[in-house]
Amino acid sequence: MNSKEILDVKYLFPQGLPGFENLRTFVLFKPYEEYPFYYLNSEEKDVSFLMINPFELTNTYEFELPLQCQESLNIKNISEVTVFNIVNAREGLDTATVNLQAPVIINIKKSVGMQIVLSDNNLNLKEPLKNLLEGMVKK
Amino acid sequence: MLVLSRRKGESLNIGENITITILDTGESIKIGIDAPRTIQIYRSEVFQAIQAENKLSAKTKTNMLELKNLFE
Repeated sequence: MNSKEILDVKYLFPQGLPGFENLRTFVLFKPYEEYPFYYLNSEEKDVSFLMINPFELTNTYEFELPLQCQESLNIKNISEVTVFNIVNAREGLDTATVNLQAPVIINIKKSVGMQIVLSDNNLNLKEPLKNLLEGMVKK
Repeated sequence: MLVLSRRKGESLNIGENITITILDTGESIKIGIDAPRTIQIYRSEVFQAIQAENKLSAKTKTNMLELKNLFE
C-alpha cells in the first residue's frame, strides 16, 4: 500500500490509548516528507503523538501480533497492518526515546487501531531513538 | 473492593468467560487465567508504565509544529 494512502484518514481507536482512554478518533499526518516522523492527532482534543514507523528505520524489530489484537482489529491479512511506535521527545529529539514495548497497530483497510502491550521483556519502553536511526536495536 | 479468599488450586469466575485459578502461593503467587482472547490482560504495573509513557509523550498540536525546529 502506498504510504500516502494512510495519511489524512480518520482512524477509530475503540479503546483509546492507555492514559487517553476517552480519545477515540485520530488522524495520521506526515508533516515533513524528508523526515521519518508521523503525527497521530486526536480529533477530539488538542493532543498529538509523534510516531515513527519502525520498519522504515530498522529490520531488527519484530514481534508476534497477539491474537487478541488480530481479532479486535479484524485483521485478515498482514498487508492490512501498519505499525507505529510513539516517540517521547519531551526533552528534544537528541534524547528522544521510542516505545517499542507498546506499538500502535492500525488496520488501514478498516481504519481502526489500538495500542498493544507486548510481553517480550527485550522490548524497551524507552529505546533511544538514536539506536533505531542507527539500526542498533537488537532482539 | 471485593475480597475473596482462595486456597492453592481453587478458582474464581469473572462473568461467564473468565476463570482465575490460584496455582501456587508463597512469597509471590501464581495465577492462572482463562479468558476470551478478546480480553486484554496485563500486569497492572506494565499497563501503568505505558499510560505514564503516553502522557509524557503527548503534546499539543502547536508544540508539535515546533518540532520542526528540532530537526534543524
